[in-house]
Amino acid sequence: MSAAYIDLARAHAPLLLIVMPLIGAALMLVSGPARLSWFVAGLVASAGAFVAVDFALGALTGAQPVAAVGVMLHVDGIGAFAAALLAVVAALTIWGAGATLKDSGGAAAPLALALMLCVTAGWTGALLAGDLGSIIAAVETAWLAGVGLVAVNASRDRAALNGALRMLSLGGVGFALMLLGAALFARAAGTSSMESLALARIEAPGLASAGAALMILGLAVKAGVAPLHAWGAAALGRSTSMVTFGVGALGMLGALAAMSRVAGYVMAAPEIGEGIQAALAGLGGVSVVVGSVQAVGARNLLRLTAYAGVSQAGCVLLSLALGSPAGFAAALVQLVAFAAAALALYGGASAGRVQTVAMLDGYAQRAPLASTAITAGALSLMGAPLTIGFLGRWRLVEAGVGAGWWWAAGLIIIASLAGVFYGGRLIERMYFRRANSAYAGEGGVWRVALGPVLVAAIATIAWGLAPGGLLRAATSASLMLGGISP
Amino acid sequence: MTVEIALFCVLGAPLVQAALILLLPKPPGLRDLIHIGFSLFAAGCAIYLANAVAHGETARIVLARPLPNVDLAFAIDPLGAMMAVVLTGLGVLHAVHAAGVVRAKQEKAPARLLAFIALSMCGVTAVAFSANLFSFFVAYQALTLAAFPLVAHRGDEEARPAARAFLATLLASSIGFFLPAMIWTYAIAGALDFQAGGVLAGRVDAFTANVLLVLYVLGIAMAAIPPMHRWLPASSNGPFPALVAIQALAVLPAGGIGILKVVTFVFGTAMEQAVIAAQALIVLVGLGMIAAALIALSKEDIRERLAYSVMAQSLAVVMGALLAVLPGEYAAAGLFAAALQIVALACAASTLVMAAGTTAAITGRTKVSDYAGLGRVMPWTFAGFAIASASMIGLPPFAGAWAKLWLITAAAGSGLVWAAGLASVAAILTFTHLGPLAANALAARAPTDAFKRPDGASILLAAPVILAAAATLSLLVLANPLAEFLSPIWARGAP
Amino acid sequence: MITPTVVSLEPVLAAGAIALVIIGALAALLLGNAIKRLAGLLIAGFGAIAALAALGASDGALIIGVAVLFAQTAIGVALVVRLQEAYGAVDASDIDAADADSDVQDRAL
Repeated sequence: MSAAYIDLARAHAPLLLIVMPLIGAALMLVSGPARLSWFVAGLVASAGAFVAVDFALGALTGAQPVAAVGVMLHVDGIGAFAAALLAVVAALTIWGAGATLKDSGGAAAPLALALMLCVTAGWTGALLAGDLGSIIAAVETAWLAGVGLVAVNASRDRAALNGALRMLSLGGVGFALMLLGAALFARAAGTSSMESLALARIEAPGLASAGAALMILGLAVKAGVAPLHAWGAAALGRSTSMVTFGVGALGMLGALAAMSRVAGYVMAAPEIGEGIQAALAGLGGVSVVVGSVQAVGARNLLRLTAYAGVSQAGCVLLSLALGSPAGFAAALVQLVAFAAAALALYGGASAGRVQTVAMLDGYAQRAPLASTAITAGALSLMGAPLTIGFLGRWRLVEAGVGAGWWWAAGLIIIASLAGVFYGGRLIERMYFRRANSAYAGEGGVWRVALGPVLVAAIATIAWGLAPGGLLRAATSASLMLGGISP
Repeated sequence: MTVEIALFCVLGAPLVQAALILLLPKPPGLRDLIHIGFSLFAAGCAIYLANAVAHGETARIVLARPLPNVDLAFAIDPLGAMMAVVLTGLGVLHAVHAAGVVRAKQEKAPARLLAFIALSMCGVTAVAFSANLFSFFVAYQALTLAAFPLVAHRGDEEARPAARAFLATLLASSIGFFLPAMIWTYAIAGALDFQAGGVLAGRVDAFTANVLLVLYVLGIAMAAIPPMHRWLPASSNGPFPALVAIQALAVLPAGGIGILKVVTFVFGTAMEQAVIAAQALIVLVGLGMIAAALIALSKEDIRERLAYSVMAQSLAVVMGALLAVLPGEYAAAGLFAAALQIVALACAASTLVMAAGTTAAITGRTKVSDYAGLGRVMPWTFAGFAIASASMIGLPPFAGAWAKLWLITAAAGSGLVWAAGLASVAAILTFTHLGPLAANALAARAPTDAFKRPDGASILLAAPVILAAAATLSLLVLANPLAEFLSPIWARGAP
Repeated sequence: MITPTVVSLEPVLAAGAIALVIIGALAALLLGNAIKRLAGLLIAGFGAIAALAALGASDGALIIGVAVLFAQTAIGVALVVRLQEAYGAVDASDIDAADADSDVQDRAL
């Protein structure tokens, strides 16, 4: 009997993935005390992660046939892979946020958790949605939930309001662009459903190119790709860990994944592939350089991480721009690298309530485990060998050189060099400086929070050492661009 | 199978050593015992491995497979085994000396210092045994990171910027130059494995070979090729045990080993394609040698003088390796000169820096002008100092002489007389900055208030110096067997 | 019998809609006053919805657009009210200046 239920659940896993966090968010509003809400949210997110990983494994290995999931949803390789990644990151972020639950007031905690779950549901929806309109609706759900999450923090620091306003205005423009782009693209392709898009014949390439470019631009705003990332530093620079996790890690990851998915569809059409390729490559190159430069100059650890993420996002875009399965596989590996590094850095920082880089002085003595996590994240951002960051960049360079894109290899080298400077600075401060007495008393957060962060740090290294499984998953996901047939 | 275990041990022992030292910093006796004991063990493993290589055995260990067709792997070959024996052997002497110095000078955080020395030794051993470019890159970065705390050890306003310059130069050059070269090699050959005869042989055109050679040579900044040498003078502020590790036993030799490995195992016969770059680099290196020897002359502080002096010696290694561009037997002669030079450099430089360390520890003197007459009160230490100076200068029968001889023969014999000339001028300049110093220390009148401490130099401080000095004599009998031992490296792939 | 030439209005409508999007987006990005920015967002959003209508998109897409726009405006207005309460200003330059001040204070700590 229970086997039948499990099969039923498996067949409708995509739907569950979207609905579960939403139900969880609703539960938050009635669950009372902050700790209890956190526990419930963590359970819901963990269940989601379990379902998502099970679903992705089944879908990517072809073991589990995917049911026809109705008109609203359409499952493809990138979507399945990224949804699983997103769900795991969501579970880790929610468990990790427990330590600083009451930073913006205990009463606000359930609301913040609910918003985090909405962010998860939104981006998951964007990864599994069946047509362009639904993707936009899902993206906006996630985005507005993110704006709310930043704003909840305002009772502690009014700067959060400024960040939220910037997010709202830039994101709103992104929304208008996406909507317009979707209208143009659907008109040119004659359909807006993902299922038929992969096979559609483009009637008006110019219109379709413009539409696709606008959609990707709109998503790029939400992924914080430079030069469209003005909201990132403002929203994250002075925020609590709930925000850095929910917006900086989960939100940016979701947006990048959704962008990868959309790019996968629009680039499949040979008529417009080249234009989009150039646009993605240009955007990616700018993002790598701008993010690196800003990270080198940053004095605030949270902003530094955000800028490093911008640079990493640029690498994802460059991989996507290649348009080949190898490029998409590289992009997926980079997404994993991004998620792990962001979790490790934001989590390591939140464990000691570190905001400025100067507060890291002597951190290794105060918080050895958190310092280890930050070190792993920084090494991965540098692209140090034997970390997943190196793997992602190597795959990109390999695919890029295969396509004759030497300049992309050059950009990656620049990103790595910049990484040595900003990442090396963090490590030097943690291990080779004496603690500043002004910050010595800080810390004392709940240790439980470190668990998820250490998981991310370990993943950073473990996948760097033995990436076989991850690479296989990414490769098979990239080969299922058009969708997984039932 | 036992060879694999020995290889594993020689790489792993220093890690355990460092961990144990950090866990058991007190009592000092136990700490030093661990330090010396593990160093002995590593040296024993290295000798065992060299013996295995001499008997034609092979061993390869794969620690991880981070990329689909690239392993993190270490393997034994004649070059690596020889370097490991020399460096870990001298490492034992250094371990004894370091134990003496941290006691005599009451260095702060001695356990950390010794632990990172052990890690640096691990790094250079890994460099020597690396089986492919990727593993070399990883070991190189690890060595950089392990040596960084040595430079930063004092943690004061002087040490911190120095350490930052050290890290920035080494990491930036390896990522900015070496990594692109590695990627390029991978794109051409589809593999990164070191192999006799060269991975690139027969696969590159002249343009690619020239650019790649420049990228590789500049990328291995540990060899102190100008303008990538900034890290070496920057590091000269560290405590003496750290300096021995950086300038004589780990960082600087790793650069030489790297250049030698790249020229032999990556380029091999493809060096013929890179004539222009090689000649340009030989000019750069030759002028660098002369400049370094001149700058050394201008330095009053013994640590800075030795830093520039060893830089000139390290550049001789690079010059020898680059002579492999020449056709015929002289290529092998150049490579052999480079290998000998690494050995000679390690012996002589460790002797000199240890002697300077002993002097500083018990007399508190670090200015060269204060060295006058010290040889009269510290005869053993300064006998070692004089022998090592003679070796650096290239006076027979000490180790440096054989290396210089081969180098100059190789250069002159193949028509690059000017290269031989540059090397000779550098040798003369080395004489001017070390010769009078050593002579003055031995011949001048003894100072009356030499010792800071009444008991003079302990055996821990004097014995390693004189034993390391004795090692510079070893090439007198070992040069031929070594040539025999190393011949498989270039016999197959000699241009 | 003379048949009237069928002139498609679609390109004209679409061009108008796109112009609205551009004007709105520029307003939302460049204007300092938060309320004006919100107005810009509304213009851009309605422009995009108009484009959807002009290009013959489904009803569903239109409803999604309107709903999102409504949510955006609601959150935006709430934010503006809170900004006025917290900073006593709704102009971006004033708010940024206040934030920069507190950043400097943080650093001096």
